[in-house]
Amino acid sequence: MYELYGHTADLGMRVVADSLEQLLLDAADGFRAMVLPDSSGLAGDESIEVAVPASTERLDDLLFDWLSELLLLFETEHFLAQSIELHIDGWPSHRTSQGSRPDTDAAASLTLRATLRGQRIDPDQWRLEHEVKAVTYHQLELCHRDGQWQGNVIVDI
Amino acid sequence: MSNSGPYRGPLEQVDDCRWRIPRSYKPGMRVDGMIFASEALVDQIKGDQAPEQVANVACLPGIQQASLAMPDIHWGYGFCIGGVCATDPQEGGVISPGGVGYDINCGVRLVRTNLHYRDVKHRIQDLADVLFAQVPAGVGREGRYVFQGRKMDELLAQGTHFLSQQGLATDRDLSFTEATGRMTAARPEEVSHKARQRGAKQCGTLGSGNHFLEVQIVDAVFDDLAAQAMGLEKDLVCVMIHSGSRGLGYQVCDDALRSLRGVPERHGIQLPDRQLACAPIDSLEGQSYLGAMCAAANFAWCNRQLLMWQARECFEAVFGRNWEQLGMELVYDVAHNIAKLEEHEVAHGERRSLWVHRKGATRAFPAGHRELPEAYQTIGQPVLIPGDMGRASWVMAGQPGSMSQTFGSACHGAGRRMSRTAAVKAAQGRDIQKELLRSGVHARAKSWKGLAEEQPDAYKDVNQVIDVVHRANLASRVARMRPIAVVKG
Repeated sequence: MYELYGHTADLGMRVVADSLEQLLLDAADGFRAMVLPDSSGLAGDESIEVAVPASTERLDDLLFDWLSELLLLFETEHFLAQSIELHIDGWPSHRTSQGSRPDTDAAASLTLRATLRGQRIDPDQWRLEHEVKAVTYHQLELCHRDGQWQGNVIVDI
Repeated sequence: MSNSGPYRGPLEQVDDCRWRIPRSYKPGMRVDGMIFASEALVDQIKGDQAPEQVANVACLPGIQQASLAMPDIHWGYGFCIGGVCATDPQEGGVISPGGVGYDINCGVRLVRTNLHYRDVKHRIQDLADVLFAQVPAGVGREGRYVFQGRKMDELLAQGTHFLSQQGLATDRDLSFTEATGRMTAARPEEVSHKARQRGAKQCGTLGSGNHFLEVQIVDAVFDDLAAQAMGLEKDLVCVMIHSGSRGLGYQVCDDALRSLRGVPERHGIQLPDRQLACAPIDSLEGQSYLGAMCAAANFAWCNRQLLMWQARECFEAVFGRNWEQLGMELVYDVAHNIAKLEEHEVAHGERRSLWVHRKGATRAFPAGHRELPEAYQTIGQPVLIPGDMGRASWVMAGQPGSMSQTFGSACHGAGRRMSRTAAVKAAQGRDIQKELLRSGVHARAKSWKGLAEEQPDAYKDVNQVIDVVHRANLASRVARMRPIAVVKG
C-alpha cells in the first residue's frame, strides 16, 4: 500500500507491505501514480525485463535504484508498467514471512529482477501529472518495523 | 537532514538586510552563515530548517568568507535553495552537486521585441495558442530537435556555440548569454549514457513544474539608463523563458550523487548531512563531476536558446514579419543553479579563483566586469527574477555590493510558500485559469493540476525579496514585468 504526500516543492511516498517484494511492487504503483494518476486505460501488451543489482549494502538504496530504473524507462521510452512480477535474487525466503525480524542491511548481494508489463505511451494522449526529475536520498527509508516492511522516498519534481 | 519543525538556532541581526549564524553555533562550522533578509522575511525563513542548512554548508572544506543565503531562501536537499558558497581549490575546497541542484543550469532568459502592448492586445489569445501548440511543454513531451552520438558530444562541449554553427543561434545571442552559453571545462565523456538517453529528444523543450514561457510587458521602469541599455521601455512586449537542463542534467546530478557515495569519508571529510555529498575539486571524483556539470550547463543553455528560437518562429507566424523585423533580441540569459570558476577577493584583499556554487541564486556582476557584453559595461549585468505567474517578474542590474558581500550573487525568484498538495487543495472549487484571465493573464497549461500547484498563492511575494536585494546593493531595480500570457507544461 502506498500513500503520496506533498513535501515542500516536491512529492513523497510512504509504502507499507507484508513483504519486501510487495513493498517494491507498491512503490512502483506509487511512482506510476505520480506520473499518471489514472492508469485505468493502460495496456499490458508490452513487456520489459529489468535487472537492478544492489549498488551498495544498504537496503534503502535498493528502493532508490528500483524507482530510478522505472524513472529511466519512462523518460527514455515513455514506458509505464501496468503490472509487474518481481523477484529478489539472494533474498532468503524466511525474510519475506510476516512476523520475522530480519536484519535489513547486507543488501550487497541482491539483484532485483522484474518483468514489467505495460505500454509505451504517447504523452499527448494521456493526462500526465508530474515530471519526476530524480529520486532523492532525502528521508529515504526501507526497513522492517512493527511487523511490516516500511518505505519512504521523496522525489524531486 | 529532515525539514521538520522551525529553526531554533541563532540568527543575529547585523543590519536591516543581514542576519548572521555565528560559526560558534555548531561544531564543524568553518565560517559564519549570513542570510540576506528583511525582518518580515526572517519570520518566514525561521519556519523551516533552511537556516540549519546554511550552517551545515559552513562546514564544507575550503569554504570562503561565509555560507550565504538570499532572501528567497527555503529548504532544499543538502544545500538550501537560495544558497551561495565559494570554495577555494588551494585550500582543499570541495565541489558539491547539492550546491548546484538537480536541474543544472536552470535559469532564465529575457527576449525583447519592438512591439508594445497596444500592438498585441487583440492578438494575445492567438499568441498564447500558437506558443502553446508549438513550444514543446509538459511531462514526457519531446521536442523536434534530436541530439545523439557525435552531435550530442559537440553540443555538450560547445554549448550554444554549436547551435550557432547549425544556424540556430546568432553571434549576438551568444554574447548576451552568461558565459556566452559555453563552459569550456565541459567534458562530454563524463556524461553517462543514461543522461544522454534522457536528454536526446529534450533539448528545446520547456519541461513541467515551475518552468514556463511567458509573454510579458514592461509594467514599470525604475532605472531609465539601465532600461535603455537593455532596450526596455514601458509597455514593451517581452518573452521570459524559465527552464534548465531537462532530463540530462537531472541524470548528471543523480549519477554524481551515486558516485560520491563514500567519497567524502575517503577524503577525511565529515559531513553534518549525507546530502552535502562532495569531493575535493582537485580529486578525480571532483573533476569528473565538474566536467559533467559544465556539459549539462551547456545543454541547458542550448535548451533555452532553442526555446527562444521556437518562440521567435511563433511570433513570426502571428505577426507576419520575421523575428529580426520584430526586434526579438536577447536581453540576457542567466543561470541560477550552477557552479562557476570566478575570481573574487578573499581575506586581506587577495584575489583567488574560487568555485562559486549558486543554488537558486543568480550571478549579479556590477558595471565594469570584463565578462559583461559592451552594452552592459556601464550599467551592470541584467539579473532576471521570475515571480509567480499572476504577479510580477523583475529585471535588475548587478551592483558592486554583490562582489563585496555575496561573491557576485543575488536572489533567483520568490520561493514556494505552499506545498504542491496544499496548493491543489486550496484550488479546489476554483478555476485558476479563469482567475488568471480576470487578472489579464492568458494561461495555457498541459496539466490543470500543475496549474493549480503553480498558482500565484503558492508562492511568496517576490517584491519583498527584490526589496532586500536592492537595499543590500546586490542588484538594483530596473524594470517590473507583468505577464499577459503564460505557457506551462
